[in-house]
Amino acid sequence: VRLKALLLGLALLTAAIALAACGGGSSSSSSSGSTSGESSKGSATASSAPDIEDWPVFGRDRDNTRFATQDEINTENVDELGEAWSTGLGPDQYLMESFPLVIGENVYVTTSTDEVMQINGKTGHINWTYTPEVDFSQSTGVGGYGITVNRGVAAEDGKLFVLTFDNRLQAISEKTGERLWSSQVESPATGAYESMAPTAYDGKVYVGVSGSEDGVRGKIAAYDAKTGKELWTFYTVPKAGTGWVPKGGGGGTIYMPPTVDVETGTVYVGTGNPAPVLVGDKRPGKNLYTDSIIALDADTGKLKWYHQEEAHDLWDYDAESPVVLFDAEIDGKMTRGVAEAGKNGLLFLLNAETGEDLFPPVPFVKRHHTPPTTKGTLECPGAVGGSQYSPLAYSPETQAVYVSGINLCMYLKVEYESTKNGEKAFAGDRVVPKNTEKTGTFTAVATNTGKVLWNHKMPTPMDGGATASAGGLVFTGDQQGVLYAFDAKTGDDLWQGDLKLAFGTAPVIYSIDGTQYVLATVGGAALTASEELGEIGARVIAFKLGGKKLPTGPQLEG
Amino acid sequence: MIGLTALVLLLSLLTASLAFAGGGKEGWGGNGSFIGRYQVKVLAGGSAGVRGGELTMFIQEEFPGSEEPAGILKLRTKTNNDVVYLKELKHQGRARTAIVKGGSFLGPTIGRFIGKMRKPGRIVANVSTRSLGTVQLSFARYSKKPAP
Repeated sequence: VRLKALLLGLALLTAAIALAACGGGSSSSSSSGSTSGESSKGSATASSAPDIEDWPVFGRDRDNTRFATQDEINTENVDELGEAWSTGLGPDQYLMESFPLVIGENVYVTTSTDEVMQINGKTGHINWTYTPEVDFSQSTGVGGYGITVNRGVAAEDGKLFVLTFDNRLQAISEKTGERLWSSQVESPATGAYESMAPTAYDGKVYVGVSGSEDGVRGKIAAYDAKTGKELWTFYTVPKAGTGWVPKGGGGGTIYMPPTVDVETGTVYVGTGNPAPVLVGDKRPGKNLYTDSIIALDADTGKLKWYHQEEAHDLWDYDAESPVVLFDAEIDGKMTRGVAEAGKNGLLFLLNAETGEDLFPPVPFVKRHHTPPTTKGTLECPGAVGGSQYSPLAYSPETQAVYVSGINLCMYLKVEYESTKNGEKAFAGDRVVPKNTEKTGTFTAVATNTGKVLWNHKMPTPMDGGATASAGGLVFTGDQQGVLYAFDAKTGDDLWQGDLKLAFGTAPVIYSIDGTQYVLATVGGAALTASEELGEIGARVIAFKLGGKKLPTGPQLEG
Repeated sequence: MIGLTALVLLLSLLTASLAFAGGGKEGWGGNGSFIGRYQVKVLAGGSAGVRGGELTMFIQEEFPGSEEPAGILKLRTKTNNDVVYLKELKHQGRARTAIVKGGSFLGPTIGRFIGKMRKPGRIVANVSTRSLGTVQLSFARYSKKPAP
């Protein structure tokens, strides 16, 4: 995040940007990774699109589809959707990237300052707040521009699991919010911090660390859910000064929760960029396993396969958003697939068993980029473009995934700088040219053909992700605070609610006493904290049929 | 990448950042007089009932030559953590002032920090935001190193 002010003068850089001008540098193979420790074998229970009323895990089901089986709210009556209740989340909350869980009558939500709240799903009443002691001075990282966010909790067996900004995994009681144990998952001295929600399954809690920008060494680790003891760790890149990683370098960190295939005992997760970020000379080769989807054995952490989305990345093209699993009939054969949308603006549809492409990667934003130079080059999408942490939704009814995209180009300029510890982890400048397009896309792609079914150009970058339902709907929110409900099959814009608080998350759907709710956490995302596109303050807002009517948003293209 | 997302925001505020880049370097005086970590004693808890906290003062280095002093102020109420960010540090005599940003250093301006340096590493100040009201705090430096 070292931006040179002098590059501000490089305004008005407008370029004719070709769609999909650059291909993804994908590769696929199997190999062994570095692991330590092991855990006991667990039982697997399939839970894809379960017919339940809750939203008990990050993506509602183990396949991480964000598909709700309720259909009370549907394409025929969604225009009756209105606000049921709205609850503020405490003082000075201006970033909201928390993806809630719903268990029974309670909603569990985190704040950007790592509180966990239990909120009554019918009334919005905050039952309790767990407020951990957190050292936020890690915000001095990334040149002093670090941002604290918390993307949610995991739940299992009456416990909630949360990662705090200062690298602690904590277990608290789901019922009372009382802390049960706390484990340090990484030393703050490394520059690592936490932003992700963990994943809990079968007695294990899976966590990663964030901070590729500062040369943090990425890893994913499993912890014992009862004790907080580390079971195994898989490092996504070699130690600094070994292999391809120069001194002061690193990368491959993780920002979103892993997805567990309970049938095969496989953990899938996406990894971040290599560092130095913009300078590739000192990190030869593909820089494995950065910008990759990796598949690990859930019990041992052993690598099953990897698929690198951007080999030898020079543009900060993380594979950051969480992986979705799906089953699709392809050429007459049912195939288990993996979907992930990268920051390079490509949607990857892979074979879940092998990591090989099922179809060529599908572009969903403008793409044009060449290697950065000392003179400067334009990069599309920019480092905050493509698909960020935004989760996909998958509907088994349409067999489509729904992709949130960001059209935002950046100007890159390389600087060759060394420090006493080795290469500078960033080594360059990035600037958004004045008047550059800052828009979004929302795209439906068929998982059985790899074809785009429909696409909307959105008025703002789309950061929060998507949620689909058996009511034939797909929901997403924009940076001006408008929640949209589209017809999942046709893309028709069926309903809008202008909340005036920016979306950095996708809604969840649950039912209590026969009433279906759509619930959104809103109040800004890191991407727009300074854009001042909406009002400030973080809230949780629930909707139901017959609720308080909201104003609508803009007319959409496409 | 999280830090990364910051840069976009940064862009929109870059003009403001430049405006105080020169004078901002002076910050609250010599770095040795204020950089480091502080314990916070609450003299008046404001409308949110602040009970304690910690302040980290450090030099942001967005790029070589752009060093600017800044602060991360964590406050704790009965039920919440509240983290705000100090920018545009200025001093005149013993007076020490800053603007208060919400969400991140690149977030909206939400209040003011108005204080006095009693001696190096000792500051008494009023911090005001809409959520907190006006909080009166005493800061005592316990480490000259901002990093944990």
